[in-house]
Amino acid sequence: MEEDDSVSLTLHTLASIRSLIINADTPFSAISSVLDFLTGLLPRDDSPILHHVLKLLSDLSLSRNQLTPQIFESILSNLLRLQTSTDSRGRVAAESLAVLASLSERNPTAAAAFSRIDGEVFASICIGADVSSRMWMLRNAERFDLPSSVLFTLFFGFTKDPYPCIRRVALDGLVCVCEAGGFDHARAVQGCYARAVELLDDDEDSVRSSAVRAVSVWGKVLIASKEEASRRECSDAVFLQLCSVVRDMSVDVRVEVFKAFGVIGTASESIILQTLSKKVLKAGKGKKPQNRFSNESADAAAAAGVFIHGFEDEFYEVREAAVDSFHSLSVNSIEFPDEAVCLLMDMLYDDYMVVRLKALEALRHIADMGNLKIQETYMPAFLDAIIDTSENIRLTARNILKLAKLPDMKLVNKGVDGVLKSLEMYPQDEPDILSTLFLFGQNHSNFVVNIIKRFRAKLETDSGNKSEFNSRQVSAFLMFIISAPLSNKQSITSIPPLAFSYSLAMLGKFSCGLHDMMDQDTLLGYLAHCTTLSAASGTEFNKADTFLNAYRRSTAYHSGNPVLPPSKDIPAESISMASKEELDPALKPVSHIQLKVKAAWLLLQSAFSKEAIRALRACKQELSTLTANSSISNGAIKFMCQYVHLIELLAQVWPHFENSRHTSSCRSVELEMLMEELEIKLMEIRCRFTGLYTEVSLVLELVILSCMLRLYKFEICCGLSCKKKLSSTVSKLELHHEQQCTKPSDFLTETKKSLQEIGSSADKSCSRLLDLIKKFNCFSPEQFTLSGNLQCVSAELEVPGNGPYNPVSFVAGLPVAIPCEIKLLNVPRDARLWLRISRSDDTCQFVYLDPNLYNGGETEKRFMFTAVACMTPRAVVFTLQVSIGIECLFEDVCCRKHRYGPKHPVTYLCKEREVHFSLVSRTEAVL
Amino acid sequence: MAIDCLVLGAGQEIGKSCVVVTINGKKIMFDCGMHMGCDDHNRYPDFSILSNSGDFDSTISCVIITHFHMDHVGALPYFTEVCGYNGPVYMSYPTKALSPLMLEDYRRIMVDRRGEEELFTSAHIASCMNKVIPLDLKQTIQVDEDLQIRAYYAGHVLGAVMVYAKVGDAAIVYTGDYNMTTDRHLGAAKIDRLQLDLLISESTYATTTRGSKYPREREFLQAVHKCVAGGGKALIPSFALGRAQELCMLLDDYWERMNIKVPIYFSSGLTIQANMYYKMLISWTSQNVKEKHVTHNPFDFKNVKDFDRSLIHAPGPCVLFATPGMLCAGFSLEVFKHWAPSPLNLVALPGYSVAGTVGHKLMSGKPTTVDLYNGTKVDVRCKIHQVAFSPHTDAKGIMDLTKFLSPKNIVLVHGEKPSMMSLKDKITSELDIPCFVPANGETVSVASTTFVKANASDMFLKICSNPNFRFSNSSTQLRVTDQRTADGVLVIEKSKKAKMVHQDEVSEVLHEKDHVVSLAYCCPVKVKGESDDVGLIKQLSEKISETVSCADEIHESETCLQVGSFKGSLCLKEECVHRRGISSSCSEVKFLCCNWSVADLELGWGIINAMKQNL
Repeated sequence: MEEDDSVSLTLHTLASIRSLIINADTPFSAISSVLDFLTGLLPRDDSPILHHVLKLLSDLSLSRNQLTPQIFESILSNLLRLQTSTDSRGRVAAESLAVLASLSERNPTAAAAFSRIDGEVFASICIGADVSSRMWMLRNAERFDLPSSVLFTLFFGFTKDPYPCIRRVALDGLVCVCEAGGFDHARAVQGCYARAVELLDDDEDSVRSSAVRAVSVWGKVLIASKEEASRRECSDAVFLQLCSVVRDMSVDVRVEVFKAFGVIGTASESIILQTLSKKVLKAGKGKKPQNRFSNESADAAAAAGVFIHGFEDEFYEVREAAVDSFHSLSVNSIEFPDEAVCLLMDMLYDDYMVVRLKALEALRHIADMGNLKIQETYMPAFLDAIIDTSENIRLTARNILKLAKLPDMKLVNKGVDGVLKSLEMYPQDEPDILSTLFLFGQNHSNFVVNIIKRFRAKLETDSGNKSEFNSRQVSAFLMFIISAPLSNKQSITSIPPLAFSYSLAMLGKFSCGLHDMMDQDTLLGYLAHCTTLSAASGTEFNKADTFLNAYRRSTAYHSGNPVLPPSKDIPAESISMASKEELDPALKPVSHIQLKVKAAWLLLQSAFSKEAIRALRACKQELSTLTANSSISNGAIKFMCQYVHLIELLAQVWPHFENSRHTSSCRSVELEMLMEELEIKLMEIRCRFTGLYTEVSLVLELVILSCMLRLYKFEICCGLSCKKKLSSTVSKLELHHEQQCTKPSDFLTETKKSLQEIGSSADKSCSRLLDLIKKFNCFSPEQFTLSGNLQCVSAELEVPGNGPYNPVSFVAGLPVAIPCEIKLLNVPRDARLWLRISRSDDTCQFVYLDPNLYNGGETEKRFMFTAVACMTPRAVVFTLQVSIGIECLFEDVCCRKHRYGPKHPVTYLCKEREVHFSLVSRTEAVL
Repeated sequence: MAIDCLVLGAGQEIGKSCVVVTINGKKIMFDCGMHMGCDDHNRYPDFSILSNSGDFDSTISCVIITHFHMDHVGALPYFTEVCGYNGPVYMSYPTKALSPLMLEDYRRIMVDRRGEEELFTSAHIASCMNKVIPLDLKQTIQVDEDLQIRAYYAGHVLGAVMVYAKVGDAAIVYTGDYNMTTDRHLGAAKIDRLQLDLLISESTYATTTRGSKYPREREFLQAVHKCVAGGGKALIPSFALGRAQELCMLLDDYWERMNIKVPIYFSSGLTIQANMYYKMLISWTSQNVKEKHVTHNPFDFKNVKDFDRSLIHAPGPCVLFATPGMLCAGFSLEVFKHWAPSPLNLVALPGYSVAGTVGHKLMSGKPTTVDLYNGTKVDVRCKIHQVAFSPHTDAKGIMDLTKFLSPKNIVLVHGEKPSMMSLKDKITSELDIPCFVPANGETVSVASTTFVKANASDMFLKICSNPNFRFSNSSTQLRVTDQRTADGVLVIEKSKKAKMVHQDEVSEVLHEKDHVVSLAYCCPVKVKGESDDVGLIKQLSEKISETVSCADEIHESETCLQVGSFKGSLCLKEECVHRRGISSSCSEVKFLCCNWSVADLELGWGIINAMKQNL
């Protein structure tokens, strides 16, 4: 190898070096001298040669990775030298940067040194470079570790470049800087937005399309930076600015503009109205929102017909973007005009699948808000969509149909036909089609009679051949028919009982389709109900009310759409409650659980106690995953937990009452324990929650039930106290209903009626009792709306520093002080709190907590309290359990015998805390 | 330099479009049409205005035809064959293909049916077409050394173009007829953003603003559907090319969608032939057709059949496309005669009908009887539907195009005067562009752009090669400017070529010295105690360094002191010109004559103030 600079270096020499580098067998000594040679060439200012040298060095690093750091170092130092020299060689510097960037991405040690290329170096090279290198540098700026201020300055400056390609790259870079976030200097944002607006008028298409993007992202930042009052004004200005380029001749620009509308996502209603009309509307005429954010005047007239142009565009990309941004605008604006919907419907005839899909999605959203009226003109488009080859389109179209309300029989028939046709063409959609028909049927229950006529004819013709296809059609018809009574009870009379019986046979299939609305058991219950009702030709409507009401409300939450008007027999108050909940989707999970509890209760009554318990446990699990939010307080969730737990206990108790009283007359220990727990839990639920409102009646009914259960089973031992409690609770509940002006439930009135009978004759009343017990309904919508201000009373108790290895010292026989740190939550004013200190041998002592300690305005209260425990035993070490309890003042039936203790039963607000004691040693005592 | 725009036809009217534009000495004729409503000498543009001698070859550089409609191409055979123009004629490929058909058809109607005097023969048409040079979209053609022309897609009809013409630095666009929204079978007009001195635009619908096309399409389809569903016959009189294809495509799609089996007929062989051209010229159609074409040619209509004369009286519903439009003559009028008396039937009239035609009578009011040309009367009981689509852009489209191109001037042609005037007002007020509405025979002159070629100095070029950003922070926003060109100075010397130099070079180029602005003030200072001049200077220097914050280095010499560019020396003159307002009467006052440069403006005044305090 000749290393003499005087020898003119030819490309031929470099080519032979290249062969040395590529050859894996070249000895390392040769490679290292090649490296020396090449790095020696770097300082030369011979740009054509250096181009090849850099390439060779890059190849060398690829084939010998261990040399990468060395190569990196020499190129970097050469680059820095170049940069400091006055005559910077643009192309070589840019190429060096490219090589360094790729080296650093391959080699971690090189990456560390990469940060030596700082903003200053990069910027000076970039400014000195020629156009192609400059473009490369701007495009790849993100690969370098540069501060965003440097990037911003460079990009912002180069938007002034005379070369359009540089301007475009600079704008793209600005978009990236903006999207990376963290750049919110007010003047810079304003300047950047203004510069992008200027470039909307650029001569070059590509620059304009990048400018549109920049206007949208920087406009968004600009809007966000404004104060609340002027934000709307600002977003309108940005929107109108974008409108001015809607009629650009370049497809790319138009696509970007419509995407940008989606980014901005909101505008004043007057502007949105203007976008739907090519004629300048009166409202927009002469109204100039402002023009201080832009150089041009922003007139609402600029928005004229923007979406009409977008929807009519020749290129589907533009139409797609237009429909998409239209969708996002409709999401963000509450009032969306009807004519907008018509425009959107026209897009259903588009030749392109993607446009149709977007239009359907937008329509589904509008239907969700309850604003969709399908006219006959558009029906064919929907029916086409239902049998479209694309699965997505079919699905979206069905979703719209689920929410749609068609005005007349003709359209309903067409709709049903379309769905049946789609079922025939795409059997794989069956479950969803069934669910569609179920909801569609509910929305069109008025037309059920006509459908039944068709169904009858169908059924008769099909009775001969039972092919699979026909049974599919039959099931579809059935699904439509059986859904009708849910929204229109009277329709049940017109439905032949046969329909329900047939449906029972298809239970599996149906419940598969309806899995997101009701489970199999609910469906079974419903069908069974309907069968009896329809057989009884509808005379016993009221009995099914609770079920139907419950279901109706749950579906209303499901669809988020008040398509089902509440029927007249629901009290006005609960309607308002229901509508309140409908507005609040956050309550949905809770109402779901209520429904499940109800279903479990039904199961329990049909002697499926195991299934019921399983379902209830699932509910508990589901509840545990809920977190408190604005609409469900923590207290409400806790209340639900307690409630479900209570029902679960009842479910465990229930089988004992299923059998007749005499066959199981021996008192099972299990039952007694369960009853005990039930009562304790009942007490807890009554004491530990404040702000109970409608729930009171529910809880009191449960108390009544538990009394009756006890009375029925354990009559002999505690009949008297039980009866006393029963009658007091009944009167309390009555009082409650009077105060709240609510209707007492059937259960209560029945109980009240039979209370005297039970009192008089002990034995005969038993059957009456059982009857009453069976009558209990754990769920009725009237009782069960969770109050907003439901709070759970709870406490935390801590003995700081205490533990098995750090016990409290005591002297045997003398009282000992226990320092307690207590935190109370939501404790009501009139509460009586006790500190219970107990030993493992069941001796316990109560210490009264002075209300002055905790009665303050705030719900949460922390304080220190020193409790004195009297019973120190003669032991070296011992432990005491301390906990905080609240006296249940209403439990006035049984009294405790403690002299210094609470007069009423106590429920505990926290877990027991173990406190460790150890005998004080002599030495310690002396000290 | 100026651009002269002479309107020979379609000035404040619709028909016989012909505009001759003179740019930097080159005369270009755009369109050469005939008026369909005139039978006299007014039918053709008055070519005699151009040249009395009839030597058009030397006056006209080229003729450019935008599309094949008769009011744009009708006078061409007359001009080339009868008037004797032999220069180049440009038109797009489809226009070249379809124009002879149209011309021949028209000639036949005029001569064979109406028996009028023949203005040009079939041979004329053929030889005229031989002179035509075809154009492709966006193809730049150098007509001669100076004249460049380029065609852009215009929508309107198959092969319609807008034409860009440039001579030297002056450039114009003549739009011809164009459509800014897409049709089913044709795309919307497309043009680049160009630097234009003049835009000559059509203005057929200068005051109309149309809504979305979808409801209009739907209305038409529903009208036809209702008619055929009721067992009626629908007649759609239309010209062979354009609307017929558009409506047929619409109907064909609808027939498929609604699964309608009623036959659709095309009446004349011409339309079938035209469909063939459409099939061949797919690249001139809309994006939608182009993309569909891969799998199925949308001009292969599934439900369309040929019509036979015997079918006029055949029972049952049908849809018939019959030529010509406007029900002015021919087969469409014949069918109308038979079908109009039945209330079941429908006549759907697409597009504009010239006054005097049966179509026009039907559209204006609801006549119960209509006089045909030969005096027979027809009872009209059928339904009339006016199809509201037009291949012309609406007012908003004209505004949009003008806004997009932002020309320096605009001339409106091809429209009715009142609506053109209102559009003119709109353009002038909203876009602030001078707008002209010349009548036939009038000439509009506008200034044209001329660029001055200048040499650039090496220093200027070198400095220009690197960006030179300057960021300025105004009260509300950050601004960036590139200083490169701002630093340049254009030097034009007598009898020398203009030269661009860097501002630092200007004085050198002009052989002038640099001028510096400096300020001078002869400042009175008081002598404290008994001190001589040197002492005074010392005193002052101390004072200055105490009070003036930025006076870093103060140089003193015997009677002078210097801070930066500030120089002060004791003034011994009795009447110093820089001394203002203070008389030198007081003997204790001495004067320090100061001068300093503009750069140290504040420093200078700061020092003066400090010294005055010494008084």
